[in-house]
Amino acid sequence: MRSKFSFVPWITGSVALIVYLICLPLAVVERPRHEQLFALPPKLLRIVAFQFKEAAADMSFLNASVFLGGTTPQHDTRRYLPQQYSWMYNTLKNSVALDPYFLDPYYLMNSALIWDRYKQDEVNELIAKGADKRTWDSLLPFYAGFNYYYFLNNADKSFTYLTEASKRSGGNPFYDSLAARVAYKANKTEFAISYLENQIQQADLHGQRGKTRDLERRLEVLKAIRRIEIAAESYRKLFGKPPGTVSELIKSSLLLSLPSDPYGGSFYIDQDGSIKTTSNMTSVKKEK
Amino acid sequence: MIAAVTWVTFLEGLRNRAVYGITLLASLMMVFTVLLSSMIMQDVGKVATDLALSTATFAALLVVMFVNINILAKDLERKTIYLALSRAVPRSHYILARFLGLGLLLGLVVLLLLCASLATIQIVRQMYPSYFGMVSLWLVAVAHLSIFLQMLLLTSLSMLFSMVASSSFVTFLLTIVSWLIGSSTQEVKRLVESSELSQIAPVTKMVVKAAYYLFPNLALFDLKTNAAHGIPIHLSQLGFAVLYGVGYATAVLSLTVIIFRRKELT
Repeated sequence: MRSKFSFVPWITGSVALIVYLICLPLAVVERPRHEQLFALPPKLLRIVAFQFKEAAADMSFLNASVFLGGTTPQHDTRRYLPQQYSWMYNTLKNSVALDPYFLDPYYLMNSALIWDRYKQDEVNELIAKGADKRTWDSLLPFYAGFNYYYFLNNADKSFTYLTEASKRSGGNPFYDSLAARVAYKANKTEFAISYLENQIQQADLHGQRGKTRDLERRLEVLKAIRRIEIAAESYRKLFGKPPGTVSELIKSSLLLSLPSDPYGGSFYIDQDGSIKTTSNMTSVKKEK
Repeated sequence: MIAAVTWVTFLEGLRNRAVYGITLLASLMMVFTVLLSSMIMQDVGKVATDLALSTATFAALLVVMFVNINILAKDLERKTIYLALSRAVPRSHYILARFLGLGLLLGLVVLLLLCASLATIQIVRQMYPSYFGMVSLWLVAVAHLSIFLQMLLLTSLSMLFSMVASSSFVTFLLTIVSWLIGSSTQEVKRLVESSELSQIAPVTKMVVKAAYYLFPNLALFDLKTNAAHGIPIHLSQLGFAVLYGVGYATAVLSLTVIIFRRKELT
């Protein structure tokens, strides 16, 4: 009896394998879109992740990353759907709630959410918190500082984070230059001057004089702006009205000569009374 | 006599096939870690360290759940305990020796896991040197030591449960529940005490507080974040965690001995 039916398991096994291989691509459960876009609240997630919070943070980030890679934005607006942004935001927020030191979710938030102008306030708040946590990193304070200035119009916070980025990077002139520019834009020229002077002095002390050329140029232009600002202030006190042009300051002898802009531009008084330069602190002519 | 029982327990654990299965699982997860690292944009070293340490925690937990509990349960269920007790081994010595033997087994497993973790992290470091981040190999070793301490603590609890539970399955359930509660008790306590949840009933707060004191706070032994980001640990913090673990395990083992002395072995 045994030898007669010994082939049966082979046949049933082979048939089952064929059925399995045929059914495999068909047996995909398509979950509704809203179900796929579900994200747990971060506080609950921290509890149910037990001792695997960090691994759960990694998986949460990967989830968002894969979603972003596999989802096409809408053709007309080049943007994702609001619920897709919302899910991405919640998933990345979960990732940083599970591991606030993890760089990648902040990186993705900055590129996928901030630049797509989705909840910029909240997202940049998270990036700033990440910058506070990652005390050794200069990239996140730079992102936070840049976003505060460029997207959120908050020069004070921008200056704080850009100077922090510079400090952490060991005095990167790029961050210093941006910080001084932000301080100037916030009508804090004097503040920007003393900050740059300090940074140049620090670079000198560390034998990095060669790296400060750009900073010195920016310092020079800020000092020139400050001289015009002081003269304009005196003009206002003397004549009871603000000056219309820089030449009026020279004519009234409050300014001895017109300072030169090392970037090649010329100074003017803007409608709001602030002193500006046509170079906008970027080179307008080639250096000789 | 303690040394003999310790050694026998260790050998018994080594002979258990579950140890090899768990080692194989851990090896596969380490390979998976290397593969997964390629999908990370910046913090590659951190992700590799997280996954290696999570694997080590999971594998050590499996050893406690499926090897340590089994060895103790077999003793009581198959009456092999008589072999030792008939040779006039005091019951307290028997418990201590069993604990030391299981500790020795755990020590060996965690040492192997440490080697595997370091090898995995080094491979990832070689593959992505610019994205290795602030990972500290020294802290990875300390994190393994704390996994070992945590599992010793859990083993002592499993021994206590095996004295009061009617079967090894109940011991298993009680031990896993203790691990789950112990891993999240600090987080739950913080949440309940936070001002955001003022509407929580005082009874709930009391229950959470009681659980916090009753169950071991295993979050103290979780150093994955420190190792993955190179965040230094203060010696005092580590010292207190060790003292806490030793104190808790000693209290639990003492209670186990008290119960075991009064237990009628039929």
